[in-house]
Amino acid sequence: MGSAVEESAGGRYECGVCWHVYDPALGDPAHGVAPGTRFDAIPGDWRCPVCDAETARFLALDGREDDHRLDQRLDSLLSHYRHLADTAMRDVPICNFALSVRGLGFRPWAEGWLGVVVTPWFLNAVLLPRDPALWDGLVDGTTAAEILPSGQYEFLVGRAGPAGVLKALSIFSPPTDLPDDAHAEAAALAVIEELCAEPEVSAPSPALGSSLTQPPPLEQRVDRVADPDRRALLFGRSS
Amino acid sequence: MAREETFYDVIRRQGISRRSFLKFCSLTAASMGLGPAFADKIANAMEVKPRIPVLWLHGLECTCCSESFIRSAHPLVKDVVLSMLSLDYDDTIMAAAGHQAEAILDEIREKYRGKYIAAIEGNPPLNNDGMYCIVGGRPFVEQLKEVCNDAAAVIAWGSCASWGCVQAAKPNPTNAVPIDKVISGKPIIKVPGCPPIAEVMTGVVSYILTFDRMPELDRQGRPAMYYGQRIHDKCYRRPHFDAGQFVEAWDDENARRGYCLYKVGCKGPTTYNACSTVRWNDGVSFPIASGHGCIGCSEDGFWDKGPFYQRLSGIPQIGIESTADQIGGTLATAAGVAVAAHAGASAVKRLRMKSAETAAERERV
Repeated sequence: MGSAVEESAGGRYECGVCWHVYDPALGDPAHGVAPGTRFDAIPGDWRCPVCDAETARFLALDGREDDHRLDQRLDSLLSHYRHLADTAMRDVPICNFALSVRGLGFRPWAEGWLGVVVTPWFLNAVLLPRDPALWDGLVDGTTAAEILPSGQYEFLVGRAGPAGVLKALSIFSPPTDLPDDAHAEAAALAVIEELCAEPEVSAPSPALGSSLTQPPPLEQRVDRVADPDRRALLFGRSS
Repeated sequence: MAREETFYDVIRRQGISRRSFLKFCSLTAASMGLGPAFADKIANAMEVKPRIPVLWLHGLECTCCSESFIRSAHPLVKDVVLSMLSLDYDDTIMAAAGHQAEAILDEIREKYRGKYIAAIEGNPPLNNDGMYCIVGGRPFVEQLKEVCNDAAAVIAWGSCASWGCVQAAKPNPTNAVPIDKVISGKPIIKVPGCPPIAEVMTGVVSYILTFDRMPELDRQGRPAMYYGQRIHDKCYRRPHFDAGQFVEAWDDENARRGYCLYKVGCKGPTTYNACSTVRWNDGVSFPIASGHGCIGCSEDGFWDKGPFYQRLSGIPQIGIESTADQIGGTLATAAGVAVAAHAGASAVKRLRMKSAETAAERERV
């Protein structure tokens, strides 16, 4: 997690449509954006100079900018939970107040970040959106099937006060069995490791194969291109 | 020699279309948390395997398990699963009565010795030689022992047969006991709940039929695929618990907003069941969705666990039956950190949705 907050120009952004890169050091003088302008300070009517895509289609190219935004979102989320621990949850006897409110193991994932949040009343895997507006339409309490590297999980959509919308997967609630922060951290890191673990590749099951007619494996049908890249595939070039 | 009748033969004879038969198979596969490929397996098993005779006995009970089972929303369950199960003896719904009925019981026991399933609803009272529940002129406990003795497997339907339920609540004047106290040497699948969810009941039976073996059981003898998680873990009101939003009193503003019911006594955090995922009445609702907290009806001794409307104050966890302090004591060591990490990783494994492939892997082991 990048804690060094860049006060300078911020990171580069890439257009999600044509892969044009916006570099804050260069700006876009031709369209009235002075060099040194942070991406989030660009006027709202600015569009991709190559393909005319809106700024919302751009994605952070460098880790730093992303980390900065994550720090902000996480701070707001955790301070909300700290507030709850002193107010709404104070008289809840099933809370384990030996644990403090913490966010652990956060890393970029799809539309946002994946990590574990520990509070005295739960230990959840949490998905935070990079752009909360994207998930604004989601209804609290609905399930969202999320495909992580290790498999598919049913997250629950929820809202955490000013920190806004998130998706949570309950691991322990309440985390009664974790006696202190060290144990909670060990459990949380094991959770995130297990979620992000690549599944073990297993041999195709003959039992299943005999009862079902399955298409031949992909390898037998097409000549596999070694390490195909996105551009080559889309533009029909061979690499 | 006449071919033995399969489930599919019965289904066709009853005029059920193949389309709705396949729909039943995929619904059942989904409720077990298995992939679509397993719908095929279930369908295949029902088409080729001879149906299993089931003897459904009733002890001290209220028939809510039968009610749940025959009123399950899918029409096939009502029309077909009952006949599919070949319910040769069920004193509540069979046509025969009196000596004729008891003769069926003996006949099935002789003919299918060691092959039939004994499904037990209710439990036996032991006081005064079992005279508080008499079936066919004899104490129920005798019938229970005889039938289970020759069965391939025993299913304990509901909280009565699994834990004792209301008739075993303090002071338990008839000394009603769960069936595993009087039956030994037979595998017992406990399907607790008052009543259990219909889809869970048919799911358990379909599993045995499809794979010719018992579903994976947890340490309390319940099918892990339906009783592996607590109501609280998958409750649609869970985000409100996480966000500290509680109903403080019935019909307050928070109740109208659908906040968490913990403070008005919801037992979701200690109750292992599938209500919050499978739900009831064809997935329409479950108690919490209707605005009432969970009363924990599928948990051992739930009648004696204090008032329904009083908030929970202690929670045993990670499946260990002891107080939090005791577990805390054992975990607070150097090895404890590794135990905590292991608990975290295995919790994630449990939550992972089973694809057809991984389930097949497990199947072969």
